[in-house]
Amino acid sequence: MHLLIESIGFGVASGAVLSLGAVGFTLQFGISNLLNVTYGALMSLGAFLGLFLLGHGLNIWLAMVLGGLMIGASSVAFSRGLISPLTRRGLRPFSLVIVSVSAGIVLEYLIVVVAGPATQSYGNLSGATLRFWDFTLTSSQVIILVIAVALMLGLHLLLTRTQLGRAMRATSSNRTLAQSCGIATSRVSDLAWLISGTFCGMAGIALAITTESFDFTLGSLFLIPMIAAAVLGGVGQPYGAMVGGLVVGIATEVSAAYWSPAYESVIAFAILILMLLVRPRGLFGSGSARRLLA
Amino acid sequence: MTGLEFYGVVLLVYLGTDLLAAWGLNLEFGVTGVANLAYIVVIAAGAYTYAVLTLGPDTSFGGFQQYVAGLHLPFALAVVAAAVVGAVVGVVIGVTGLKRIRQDYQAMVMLVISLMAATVVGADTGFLGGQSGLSLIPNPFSGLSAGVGDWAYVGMVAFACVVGYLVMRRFTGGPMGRALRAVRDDEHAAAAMGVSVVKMRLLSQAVGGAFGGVSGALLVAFIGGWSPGAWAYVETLALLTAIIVGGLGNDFGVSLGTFVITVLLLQGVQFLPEIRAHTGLTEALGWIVLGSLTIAFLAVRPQGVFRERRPRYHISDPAADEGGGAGTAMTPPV
Amino acid sequence: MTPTGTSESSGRSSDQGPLPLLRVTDLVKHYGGVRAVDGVTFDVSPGTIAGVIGPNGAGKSTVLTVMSGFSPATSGRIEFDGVDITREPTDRRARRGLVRTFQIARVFEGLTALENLMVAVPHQRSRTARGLLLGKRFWGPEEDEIVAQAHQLMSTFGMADKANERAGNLSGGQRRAVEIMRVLMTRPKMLLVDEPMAGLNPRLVRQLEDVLVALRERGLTVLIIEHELDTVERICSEVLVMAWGKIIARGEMAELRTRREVQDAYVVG
Repeated sequence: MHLLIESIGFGVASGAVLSLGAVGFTLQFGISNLLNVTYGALMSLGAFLGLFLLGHGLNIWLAMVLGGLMIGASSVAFSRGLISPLTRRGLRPFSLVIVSVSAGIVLEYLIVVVAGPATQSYGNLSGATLRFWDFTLTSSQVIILVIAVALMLGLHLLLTRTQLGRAMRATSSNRTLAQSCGIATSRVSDLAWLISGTFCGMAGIALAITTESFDFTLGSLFLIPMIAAAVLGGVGQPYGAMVGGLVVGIATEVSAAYWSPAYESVIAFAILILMLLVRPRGLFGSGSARRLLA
Repeated sequence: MTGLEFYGVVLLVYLGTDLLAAWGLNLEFGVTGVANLAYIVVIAAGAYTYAVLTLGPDTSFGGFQQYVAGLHLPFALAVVAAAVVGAVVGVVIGVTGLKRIRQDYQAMVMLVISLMAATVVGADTGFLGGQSGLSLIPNPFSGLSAGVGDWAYVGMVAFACVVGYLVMRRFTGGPMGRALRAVRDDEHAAAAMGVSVVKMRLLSQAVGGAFGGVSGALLVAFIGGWSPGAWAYVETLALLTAIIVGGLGNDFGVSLGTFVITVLLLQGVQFLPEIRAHTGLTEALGWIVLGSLTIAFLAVRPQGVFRERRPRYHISDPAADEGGGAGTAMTPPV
Repeated sequence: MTPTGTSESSGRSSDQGPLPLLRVTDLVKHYGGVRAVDGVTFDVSPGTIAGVIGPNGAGKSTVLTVMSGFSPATSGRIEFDGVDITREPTDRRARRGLVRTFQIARVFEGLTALENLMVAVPHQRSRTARGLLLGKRFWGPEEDEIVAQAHQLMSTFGMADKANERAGNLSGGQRRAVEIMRVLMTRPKMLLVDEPMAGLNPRLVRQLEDVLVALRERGLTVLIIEHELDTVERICSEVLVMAWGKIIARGEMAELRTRREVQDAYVVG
């Protein structure tokens, strides 16, 4: 029983990071209808940017925010520079997936060219180990958890209380209709990419904080669990992604504890494939169901 | 045999096996329109099948590798088995793709299948050697002296390619090729014409899988070892780039594309001097060029350098061409 | 078409003429909460052209979609040539001779126009295992015959010069012609045609009408959905009027035009 609770605790901690990444991913899908596989490489880039900022003496949490914003800006550039022109050229969704996979590969190997293929580390940032009830977490895990919750709360407020948020939801659900209502959809898109890209970058840095060492493949390793979380919750649904991240995180940790750590990624793969084949609109998806049919 | 000569042998063997794989993937994707991003899995399946069937118990001295079977079968039989396993795995993957979901979701499913296979095999050391893989896989020509054996291998691969090409033409050319392309171009219209889309897709993945299986077997018998590192999901991307750049559905274009991408680009860059002890730089550059090429071609020239060409039929009897008026005129049939 | 009240579910009635080629009974199709087709029953006799008209959203295209197998019926029965095909997949129905066209003409863009026609011929030897094994020696002669047939058909449609043209490069009207020709190559017993006149100029409309009539003389059965009411009046022997998923009237076009409920349906629906 203790093992179960402890692994649930780990699951919540890793789930928080997965949720962060999944929310960003799902926002991008919502606004652009694209399964953006480059997301993984952008997370890796975030981790390396964090390393760079850390090396220049910046506090890790500030580095996380700053690095996140830099990835946010990169994401806007990515969508404006690559995705929009290609979509306008009439590339089918499948070709766009290939493009995003290729862009991801290019970005990852650019990282190798600049920073080398060797593994890197942020050093030991874990901080004190905290124990309460049966949970065992490091203080940095807790801080990340708090940051993730705060960000998602902020996103919730943005989406529901602000005009921008309403515009984003409108553009997400029906772009042409939103345009005819006078919403500046391309500005809204840019902002959505900025926000989701920031989540992406922060998720990448959070991953780097919580793993002992990482290399340019960091993002790719965690991308599938994040996509699994996003699909589980219903692609395009940020709240679904939050829940999905927790579910995937806990499922992964529990299976690693009871079954074998080597298979933990298989759980996420299985969830993703199952959802895509059996219920592509996810647990909470509804209106977006139409987008999923061939 | 000089180092350069041996390098030439290596390139030729890689070219031959890559051609077989590219033809298989082209049949699936270029001709039939099946978005199989998990193609590398059938190549791996063929390689492991060959390894498992030809490794005898004597290679497990000290127990440093464990695997299934260990049958020490002859070369030809093992290659045929690899083809069969490749076909079966191809069909299994194909069945997951039959569910009609959006094409990009389907691509995602294939990608995940590829990753899942690598993870499952890489995790469990008892099965297929796990992350360290299998080694000491026997080369059929190991009895011959080094130089002769190597060139004999090249000859065999070349023979396999010739046979493979002739078999391939049976599917990509003629009425079968036409039916497969109809499924690619518009599967609903094809179904409405009485073409069984399911049969066509699975057929292309069975044959494509067989080609991949043979490719994997021939490669592994030469290299002597095989592990998950050799079949990461990006390898399918490399093949995909080759056939996109060369020209989807064009047998010649695909062959040329394979030569350029997998030999010149990915192997050839190993030749470049390593710059300031930056290990892995040339490999990284290779992948950067590859990814950029894929994006560029998909954006600007998705049909590839050599676009698909369809046969032109002419009627020798001039009487049949009467009545040709403006293109849109329609008169009742006689 | 036989009125629903007197149709028999089995056996022949000597005073009712030939057995219907197509018989649809209580067809229902739901999409989510919407009853797109809400209990439709009708027959089509062989060698006739039947028309289906009605305002947009009446469910006409949905009936066609379900009849051709692209979408499963929620309930009801479809019998073709005496066989219950309700659960059969599209390609199976097509091989039985029930073939459809699409609202926007669909051609195989990567193939030439001629090849579009060639690929439609059913039961080709080249597509069997033996054919793959034995190669050109086995199916060569059959292929030549198909080429000749296809050329012949294209000539009679006046498009012989476009035979080797890539179908993707053809204009809208040419694509429609290729689609019709391709469908004819399947040697159909019955055609389900979905608004074929859409986007065609009056001259082409007349020519397509003549083609359909000529085909009917040779025994083909047609069910046509059309908005061009003049066309329907000219070529259809019986017409169904659909609105809100149901058949609200049936008879001859000229007579239906005068009926109140038909006029109302168009105004409201």
